[in-house]
Amino acid sequence: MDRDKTRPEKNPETRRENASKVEPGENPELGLGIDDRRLLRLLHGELPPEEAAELRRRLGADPVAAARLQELERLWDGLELPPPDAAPPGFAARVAARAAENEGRAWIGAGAPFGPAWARAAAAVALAAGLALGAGVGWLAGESAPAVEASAGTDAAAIGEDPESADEWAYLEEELPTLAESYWDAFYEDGEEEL
Amino acid sequence: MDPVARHAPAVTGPDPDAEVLARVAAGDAAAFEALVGRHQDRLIGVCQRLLGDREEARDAAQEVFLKAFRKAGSYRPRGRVYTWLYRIAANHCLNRLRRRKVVRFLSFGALEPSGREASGSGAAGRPWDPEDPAPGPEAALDARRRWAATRRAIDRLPESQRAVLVLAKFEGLSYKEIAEVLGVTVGAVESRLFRAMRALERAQAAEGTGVS
Repeated sequence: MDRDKTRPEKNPETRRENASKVEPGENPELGLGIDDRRLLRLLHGELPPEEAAELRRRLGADPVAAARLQELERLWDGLELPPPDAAPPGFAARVAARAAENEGRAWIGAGAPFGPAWARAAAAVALAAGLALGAGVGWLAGESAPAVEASAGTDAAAIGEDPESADEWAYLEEELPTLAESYWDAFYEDGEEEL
Repeated sequence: MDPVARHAPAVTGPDPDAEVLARVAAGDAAAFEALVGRHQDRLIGVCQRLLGDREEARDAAQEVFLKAFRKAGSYRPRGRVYTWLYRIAANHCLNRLRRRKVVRFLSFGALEPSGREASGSGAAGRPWDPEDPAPGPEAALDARRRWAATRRAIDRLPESQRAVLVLAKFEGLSYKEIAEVLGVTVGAVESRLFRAMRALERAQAAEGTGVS
């Protein structure tokens, strides 16, 4: 099976074609250098002060671009979610108690019959099966999946997981479907990252 | 609103949480409880906005703090402690979202948004019960409609775009902070945010013409 062709967004031809399109929302009538990305940077306060001032000056003379900024601002300001819940009373104490309880648990150690070596071997077999599953999931999901900043290794590194601990076994068991998808994404560069 | 005022002022100076985390790593239980207390609202909030479910958010936040507790000793200060916590939270929530997709696929359910708040409902269909300062039921209903529309729109986004949008819009993080949280470049943050906005615009236009 030609994997490239099973995921249309991965087809190099499609990607080249898409890259050359003027995307909806990128107003081609806007002046050179005033594109949506720059307007978003202005909107989010991400431009250095001099650049922001210069852009505002140019917008003053460009009603089309100024109108576009207003559209983006309306869209941004229109995003509303309910205020999040505050933590319930006693939350911190309960979490601390659970952490202390976890510390006191007897973990499966390296010398036990079901120690890490056996667990890793079993996990590798399961992961291979998960990869095949993840292939189907990734394609059927039909979305451009996120670039992997969270392959098993980097995800573990990002959160500081200790691969030697029994935590990893429970982690693998729990996260296997996710890892399958992540390995799928690692195999394909999905183009989300612009370095 | 002046765009440059949108973000909170950049945090400068020594990070007070760094010392607390060092004490946590040394086994100071009181320090850990203090750290949780300082950041519980923030983390529950970001989990809630990413996952769209109150109870799941609380569970997730608890798991995030427990991971932080276990790994306090391996924290290497590259930014502020709160961005490290955000990073754990974002990874944890994004993994949960990906797992939802797989579980739904395996159970032959439709690959739809979480649905828990698609109609303004929380977990198990319980409606959001806003502590609504707005006067009158009309305003409360309007607020719920807007929340539901936002929730639907966010739930349709790919996880990477959803994370960037939530962190920028609802957590007020700068592009640089988001890049640090997600472990990507600032350019990637900008790109994902641009695509998220474009997707939201298309969804809004489609709903306006009656196409779902």
